[in-house]
Amino acid sequence: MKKNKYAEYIFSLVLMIIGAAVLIIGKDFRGNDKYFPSIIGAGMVITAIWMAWEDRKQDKACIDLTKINFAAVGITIVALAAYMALFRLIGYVLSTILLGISIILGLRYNNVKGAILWPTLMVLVVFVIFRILLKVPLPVLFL
Amino acid sequence: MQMLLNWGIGLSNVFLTPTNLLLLLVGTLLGMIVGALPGLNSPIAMSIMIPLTYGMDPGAALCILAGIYTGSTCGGSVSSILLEVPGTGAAVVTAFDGHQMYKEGKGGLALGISAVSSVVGGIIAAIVLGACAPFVAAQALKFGAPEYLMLSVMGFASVIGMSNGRMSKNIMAMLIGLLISVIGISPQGGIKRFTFGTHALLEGIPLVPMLIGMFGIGAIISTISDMKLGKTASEVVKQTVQRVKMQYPDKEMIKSFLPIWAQSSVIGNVVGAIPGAGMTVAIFMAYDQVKRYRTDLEFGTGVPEGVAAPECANNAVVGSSMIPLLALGVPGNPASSLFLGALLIHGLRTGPKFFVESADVAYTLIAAFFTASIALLPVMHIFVNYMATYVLRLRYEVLNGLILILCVTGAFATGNNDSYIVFAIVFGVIGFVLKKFHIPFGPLVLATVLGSMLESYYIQSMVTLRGNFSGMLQRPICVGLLLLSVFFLLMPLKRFLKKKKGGV
Repeated sequence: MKKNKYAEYIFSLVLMIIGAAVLIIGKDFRGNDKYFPSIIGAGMVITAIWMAWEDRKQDKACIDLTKINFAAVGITIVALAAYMALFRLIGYVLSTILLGISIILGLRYNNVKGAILWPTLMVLVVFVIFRILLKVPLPVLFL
Repeated sequence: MQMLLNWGIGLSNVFLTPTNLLLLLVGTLLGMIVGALPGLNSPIAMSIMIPLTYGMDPGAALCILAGIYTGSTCGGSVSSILLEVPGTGAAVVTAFDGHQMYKEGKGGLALGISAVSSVVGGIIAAIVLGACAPFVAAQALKFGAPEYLMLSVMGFASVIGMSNGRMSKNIMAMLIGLLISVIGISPQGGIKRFTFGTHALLEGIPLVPMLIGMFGIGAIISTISDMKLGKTASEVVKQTVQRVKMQYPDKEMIKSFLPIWAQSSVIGNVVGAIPGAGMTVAIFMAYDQVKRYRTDLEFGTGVPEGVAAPECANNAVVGSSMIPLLALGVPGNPASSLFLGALLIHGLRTGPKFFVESADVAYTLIAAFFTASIALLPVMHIFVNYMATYVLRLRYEVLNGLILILCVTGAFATGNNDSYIVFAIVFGVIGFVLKKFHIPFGPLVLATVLGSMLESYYIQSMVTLRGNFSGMLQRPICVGLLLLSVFFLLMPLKRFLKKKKGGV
C-alpha cells in the first residue's frame, strides 16, 4: 500500500524534474522560440506538484504495484531493445520472427511449435505485403 | 444543391467502387473482431492498419478505417453482453443490462438490440456529420490567426472541462503532448529544440509511429504486465461463453425504442462533436437519461432499453467526433487523430479548406461512415452467429505477439526508416507507464497535434494584433470561442458543486 503511494510520488517527481529541465533548457532559446517551452516547463512543474498534493489526499493509490508483473515487462522491454539492435544487423525477417517468438513464449504460451509457427507465418505474410506489394524497403540479410 | 451533389459523389465512391465497398466491409468485420476482444480497441487496429493503407488511394484508406472505427464501437457490446467484460470502454454500460439479459437466456435479443441501435445511431451521426461539418468548415474559412488561436485554446478547454477523471492528470497529459509538439525545428526561428544532437528528432516526433507505439505496443506491454492475475483472459472466456444466435427486436419493441434512440442520438452527436468529451461521457449520459425517461423500469436487471440507449449513443459519437477534425482540423479523440495520421500519409490535411480542396475525399469519408453503419447489421449477424464464440476463444498470447509484429512493421513502413521503429517502441514504453498512472491519451494526442498549430497561430496573432491581445475582444468569433472556453472550464466546478450538494 505504502509502496503504491511512493510510486505515485516518484512519478510526480519525475514529471517535475522533466518540467524543470524543459524550463532550464528552454531559457537558452532565442526570442519567441523560448516562450512555449517555458510555459510548458513551468506548467509541468506546477501540475506535478498539484498531482502529488492530490495523491497525498487520496486514500487509495491509482497504481497497484502488486498487480504488475515487472519481470515480464522487463523481458518484453529487453526483447524490444534487442530487436532494435538486431533489425539492421540480421534483417527484418529473422529479427521480427525472433521478437514474435520471444513475446509469445514470454506470455507463457506453452505450445512451442505454435509459438514458432504463428510469428513465422505472420512475418512472411507481412513481408510479402509490405516488401513486394507496397514496395516498402524492409531490410533483408541475404537479398 | 452542391451538398447533394457531393453526397452523391461520396456515396458513389463507396457503393460503385467495388474495392472501396469490400475494404469497408472487411474493415467493419475486423473492427467488430477487435472490439469484441477485451484489451484490444479501435485505435490499436487503426494504428496498425494505417501503414497498410499507404499504397491505397485516400478514399479506400478511409473506407477501411471508417469500417474499423464503426465496427469496433458496436463489437464492444458482444463481449459486454456475453462475458460482462466490455470489449471497449464504449460498451461499459451495455454490460449492466445486456449481461443480465444473457443470463436470462435473452443474449441473442440483447445483441440484436445492440446491432439495430448502433445502426440507428451511426446513420443519424453520419447525416449530422455530412450536414454540419461542411457548414462549420465554411464558417471557419473566415477565421484568421487570432480565431485559430482561440479555437486551439477552446480545444484544450473542452478537453480539460469535459474529460473524466482527475483534472490535474488531464492537464499533465496535455502538457506532455505540448512538449512532444515542440521537439524539432521551431516554426519561427528555425532553431533546434530538444533534439539533443539527434538527427532523427530534427523533424519532430512523427505522429503515426507515436500513435502506433502508444496505442499498439503500449497496450501489449500493459497486457503482459497484467499476466500475474492467475487465469489468462482466454481461459476465462473458454469457461463461460456459450453460442448464441442473434434475434431482432419486434415491431412493438422498435416502436418503444424510437424516443430512446432519438434522445440517445442527440446526446451522442452533441457530446461527440465536443473535443475531448468522448464516448464514455455519452454512454453514461444516455443511460442516465433513459433511466429518467422510463422510471417504470428497473435498470440493471436485464432491461432492453438499457442496451438500446448506450449502444445508440456510442455509435452516434463515431460520426460526430469527426466534425471538429474535418471542419477545423482539431482531432477530438484518439480515433480521429488516427484519421488525421492516415490523411497526412496521403498528403492531405483536414481543416476548413478540406471541403474545398478535397471535397471528394471528405464526402467519401462521410459516405463511408453512413455505409459502415448500415453494414453493421449484416456484419454483426454473421459475426455473432458464426464467429463470435471462436473469436472470443482466440489465444491472447499469440494475438499479442502477432499484433506486435504488425506494429513494428507498420512503424517502419510509415517512413521507410528504422528510427521510426525506435520512436514506436519508446512511445510504447511511455504509453505503458502513462496508462498505469492513469494519464489519459486523448488530451495528449490532441495537444501533440494542436501544439505546433497553437505556437504558429500565437506568433501570427501577435503580428496581426500588433502585440495587443485585447484586440481579440473586438473580434466576435474570438469572443464567442473565449466564452465557450470559459464555459468548458467551469464544467468541473459545476460537477464539484453538484457533488458537494449531493453529499450534503
